[in-house]
Amino acid sequence: MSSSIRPPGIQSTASDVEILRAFEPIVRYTQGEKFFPMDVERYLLASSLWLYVPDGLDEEVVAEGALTVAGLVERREAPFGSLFYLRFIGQLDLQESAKALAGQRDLAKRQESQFHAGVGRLARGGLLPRLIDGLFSLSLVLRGTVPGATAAAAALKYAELHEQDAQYVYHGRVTRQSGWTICQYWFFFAYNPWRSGFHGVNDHESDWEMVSVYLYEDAGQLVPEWVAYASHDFHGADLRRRWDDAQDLELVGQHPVVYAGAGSHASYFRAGEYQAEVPIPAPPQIKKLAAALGGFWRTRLGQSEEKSSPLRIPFIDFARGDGLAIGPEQPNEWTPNLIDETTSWASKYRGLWGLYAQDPISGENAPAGPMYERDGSPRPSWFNPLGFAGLDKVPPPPSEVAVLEGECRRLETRQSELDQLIPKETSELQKLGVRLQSMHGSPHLATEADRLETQAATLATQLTALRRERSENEAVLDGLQRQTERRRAHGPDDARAHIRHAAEPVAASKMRFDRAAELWAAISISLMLIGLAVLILVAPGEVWAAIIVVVIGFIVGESVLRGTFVRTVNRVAVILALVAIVVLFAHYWKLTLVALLLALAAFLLYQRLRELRA
Amino acid sequence: MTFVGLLILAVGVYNIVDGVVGLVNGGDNSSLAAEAFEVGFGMLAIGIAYGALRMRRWAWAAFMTLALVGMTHQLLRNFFYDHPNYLSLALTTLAVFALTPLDIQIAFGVRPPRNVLLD
Repeated sequence: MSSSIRPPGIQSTASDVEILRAFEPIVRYTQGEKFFPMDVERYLLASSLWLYVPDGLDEEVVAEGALTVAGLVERREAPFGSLFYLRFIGQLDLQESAKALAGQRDLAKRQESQFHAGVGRLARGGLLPRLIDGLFSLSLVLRGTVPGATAAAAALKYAELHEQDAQYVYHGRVTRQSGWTICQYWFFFAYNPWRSGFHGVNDHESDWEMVSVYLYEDAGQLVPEWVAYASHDFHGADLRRRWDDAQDLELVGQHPVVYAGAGSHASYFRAGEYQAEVPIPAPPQIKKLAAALGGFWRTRLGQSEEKSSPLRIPFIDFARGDGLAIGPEQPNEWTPNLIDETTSWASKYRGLWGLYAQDPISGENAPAGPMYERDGSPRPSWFNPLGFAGLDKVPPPPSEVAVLEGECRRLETRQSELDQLIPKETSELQKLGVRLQSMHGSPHLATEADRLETQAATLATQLTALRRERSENEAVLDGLQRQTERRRAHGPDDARAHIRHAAEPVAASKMRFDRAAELWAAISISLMLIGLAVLILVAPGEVWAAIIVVVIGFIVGESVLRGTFVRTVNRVAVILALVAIVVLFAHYWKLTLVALLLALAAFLLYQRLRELRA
Repeated sequence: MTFVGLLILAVGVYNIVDGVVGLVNGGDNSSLAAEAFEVGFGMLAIGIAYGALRMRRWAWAAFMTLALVGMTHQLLRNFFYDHPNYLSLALTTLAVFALTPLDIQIAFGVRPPRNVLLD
């Protein structure tokens, strides 16, 4: 941290639990959230263990009520392609489903915590995103999904478990790497009801989220420097904020505040509603083509300043922070549960922590544990917590000056070497040049001259590389020296310089849609499809022309309600103009070619004549 | 800006002349309706050109709307019915591209200057 005022820390001799407790986050949830961080062992007792075998029937390995940590991690043989998974909620029949749904309604009333998306949720996406959203929902029929009413049954079961033992648990890990002490707070949820409860992308049994605090040691104290929240769409350095970044990071004492997405449980630095984007699976060629077309649309046609891909579906993640708050000085406190590589359920169980829904794009499949990915491979955030937040290239502040000075010394040594090497190489090259010059006019020395010419060319290339290196080192050294001075003087620096893309809540101006726009957004797609169906029946001869008119009419009509009429009319007109160019070229390609050639000829003639006159 | 205004004026004048010639020459009801549409389109374009020469915001929006209607009409004729009026289509296309650059939109007051943030 640049400032000489250092935040208070904790003694470096403190135990891991004390370190975790000193910086544990405060998590604020959204109204309507039904699942909160819980102890995995309690979840295990309420779950069953299953084995998925490709081309076979799933087999129950351990029944609900009998599963313990020892039973979970027991070594079991299984064929390639098979997968162990847990089930929190078993198969529900129609009666059980109805009971679960009714029970969920009663639960919501009892908990007095209801979610309201608010006016404008549907209207935030345009006609096309809503159509894609609709198709995405339809795709759930074809893909593997968590069965209906599972979310309701899970909410009831979790509420029952919570009533028996009202604890909010995080699984904390303290690890030390490259001079950093890293506190990882792993939050385990019985269920992720983002789709069924909050209009999001997916539902899945179990959910893991993680927040990391990065500390450095100085004068016997562990001092917080960075905090990183796992989030949708962001990676590496974009996940972390510096402890003094007041723009994004909210602190209560030494505790960072996390705003959790409703249902998704993704972590955000600020309260708000975030637009998360889910990529549509597409071949790389299609993605490249879409990116190129998007670039042409934005830059050449000046149609949008926002860089968004047509192959992404926008969803809203509500992280309002108006619901339950857990953490220090909050109505609900954390119960820490220390974990590390020796924690058997974390290290020895590589299966999924909930239902394997057989969804090919994995959205509805449960996640694996904190140490592993769904395919059983190691999870980077566990084995490389520094790289996870882009901190693997950042030294802890107390050693930063020493690292900078070391780099300066190394470069200065290299510059001295180059200062000796360059004149030496130059002298060699000059000698070669003189020898080559002396051979001119002596045909019997042609072979030797060729050899020397090749040698001189190689030496010249080397010399150019050395001079370039020296010049570049000069600039790098200058920067390093200035940075060293700044660090020594504890001068100000930008706490946000590392951030390339930051998660921002959707701006208020983009959420102001009235009820008419919301109603239209709710009915328009269905209305349009009904209109098209009627056209096919009523005017089959004119159907294509009519479809085009109806679609354009809907797009323009919607833009009036969304307050984007001018921009939409321009966009549609530009698309039509592009089609018109193709039509005109197809009809008049000879004439167009002739006109282009004549224009080119006139231009060249004008240029040459100007040259002649000059 | 004068170029853009004159271009819209050209679109208007051409459509009126072509429409009137078509009406005078006569034809079936469908073609007479198309020619009448063209005359109406041209008259509106002339009105809009007047606003465009004075850099009015409404003129930009009105021309884009008119261009959308005109191009949809001509392209539908091209794809599903008889031959469109290619010259009218070309002039409208040219005018759309002339009015689209960000600087032109800023000049007409359709978009805010680059350094103004709305949020």
